[in-house]
Amino acid sequence: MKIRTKIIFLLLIIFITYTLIFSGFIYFSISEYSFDDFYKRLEIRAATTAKVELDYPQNASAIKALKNEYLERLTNEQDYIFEITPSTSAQIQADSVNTPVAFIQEIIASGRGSYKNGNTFYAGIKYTSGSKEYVVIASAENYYNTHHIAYLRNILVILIVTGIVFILAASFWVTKKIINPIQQITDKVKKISSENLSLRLNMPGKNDEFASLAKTFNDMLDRLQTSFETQNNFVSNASHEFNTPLTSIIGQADVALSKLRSPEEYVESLSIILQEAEKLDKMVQALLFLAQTGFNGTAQKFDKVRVDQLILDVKMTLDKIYPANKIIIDFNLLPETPDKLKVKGNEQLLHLALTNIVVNACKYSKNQPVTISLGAASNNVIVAVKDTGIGIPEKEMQYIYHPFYRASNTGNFEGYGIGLPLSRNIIKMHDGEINVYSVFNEGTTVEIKIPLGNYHY
Amino acid sequence: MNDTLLIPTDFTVESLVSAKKFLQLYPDARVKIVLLHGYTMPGSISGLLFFSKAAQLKSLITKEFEEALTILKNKYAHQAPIIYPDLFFGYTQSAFNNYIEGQGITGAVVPKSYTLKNTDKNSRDILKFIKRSPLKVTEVDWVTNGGGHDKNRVSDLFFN
Repeated sequence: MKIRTKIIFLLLIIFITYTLIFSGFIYFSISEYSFDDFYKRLEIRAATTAKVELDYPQNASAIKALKNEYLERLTNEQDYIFEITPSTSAQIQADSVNTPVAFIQEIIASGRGSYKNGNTFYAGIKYTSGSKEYVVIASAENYYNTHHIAYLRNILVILIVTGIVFILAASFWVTKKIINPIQQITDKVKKISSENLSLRLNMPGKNDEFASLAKTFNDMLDRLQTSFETQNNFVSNASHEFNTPLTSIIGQADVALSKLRSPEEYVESLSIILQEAEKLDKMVQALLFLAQTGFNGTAQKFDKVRVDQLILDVKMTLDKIYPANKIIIDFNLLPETPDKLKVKGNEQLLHLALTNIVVNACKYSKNQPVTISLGAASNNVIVAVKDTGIGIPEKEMQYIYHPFYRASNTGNFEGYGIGLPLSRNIIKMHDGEINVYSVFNEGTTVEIKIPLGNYHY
Repeated sequence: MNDTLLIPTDFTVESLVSAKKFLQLYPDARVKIVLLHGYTMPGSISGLLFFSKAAQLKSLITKEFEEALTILKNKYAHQAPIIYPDLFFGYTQSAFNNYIEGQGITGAVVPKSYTLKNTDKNSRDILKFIKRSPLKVTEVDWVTNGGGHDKNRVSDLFFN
């Protein structure tokens, strides 16, 4: 549940932060605004008070009655008027109103001032009446602060709390829906083991990330299953292949020992036994090699290999195996700089890989012309081997890399079916690609691509 | 001689064989080769608005075609041929002639027996334009070796 809790936490934190900022901003700006508003009201009252008391003292009572009847009453409204004379001390005035000295001094200096003590607001103006100057202060309790703002604050707090609860519930639900497929996949995969490797994950209908995850898993399982089956096949094929020469050896020995025979017959039997044993030996070596290259590609020594030289060497090797070969080496499209012909690899292994391919080309075409071409692309060296032999039937193309597999039309030709898989392993070890194209009874083309070694020397 | 040549292409490796044959015939030529492919621009408003020749070329050119092109360029590196693909969108002969003039193309290399395929449903044939244009046309020929396959193979460059 860890990712779920992470997501829920994250959502919650984002929500809380945002709403706190949001509501905080609303609350404080409205507070400020209402403060300003209230000060202005007080100032107006101070001004009216000043005018009434100082300029029209004779109408004071009448105006006061009017004021009380029509003007809104502020809670605990008080008005103070002080005359500013050089001898009055601002301190005494401040004390009598319960405000700091700075307030009075500000009024005297700049003409207006404001002060707040708890919920009581003071606003003061400097008023000139006749030839005298007065400080007129109006104070009241801020009704709005106590009631309206408090109301706003309560609403915001309630909203935040309900919002948190809502977000919690919503994120629980949402994450559950999202994480559920992952949980399903985990449960299903737990059931897959080497016994029931054919189990596959259900593909959800939608084409989203989980579908692609399930598909990738399924593909991986396919590959695993194939390699398991290949292993099994390998073992059974190997035993079958070994069986044949062994049966032959045992048969020969049995027959030879069944009764006394002439020396010539013994010589013949022993020669056949030797032949079969040598075949067996070659096969075992090839198999060993196949296993080694298949499993561990990093143990070999890799160095610079010139592919054109390699091809010439392979031709020489072929001349020894099939002296009647008609191999044509086509260097028509060779690049001009030898740098583009150097690959990083193991010379012996590449020699073996290429030899296998070319041997196949010569063997299965009964020594008809075989063309080996070489060219360099931007990142690869490309070797193409083309023959006009018996080809590979279309349906069997998918099996050609299986060890010991021999196509249906190879009955007249000798072979173990190990050459091509071995070559492919070697080429894969070199990070290369091999492609086989064939038309039944017309011929086969094998393309080998090996990455350049980027050597500049 | 600093010629600019036009070679019609269908972005198969085999169509590059025309270039290969030409470069074999004239190993000292310093040429610029335009691999031209006739294409129809999309007809819808949004298609036209978002059409990009570079993107279209990128989708038509296969990896094998690029590899084969690099092989050719590496082979004739000392001649430093400039070979690049281009698309022709016009429908008329005069549009084609204009294109030729604009690109400064002096000659064309046309395969005799190989027929260019339609890469895409929007591809068009430009051979008829080439034949009726004022270009000097060189014909090259080869026997399609191991043909009859759809797959684009780099080895086609070698064996033809």
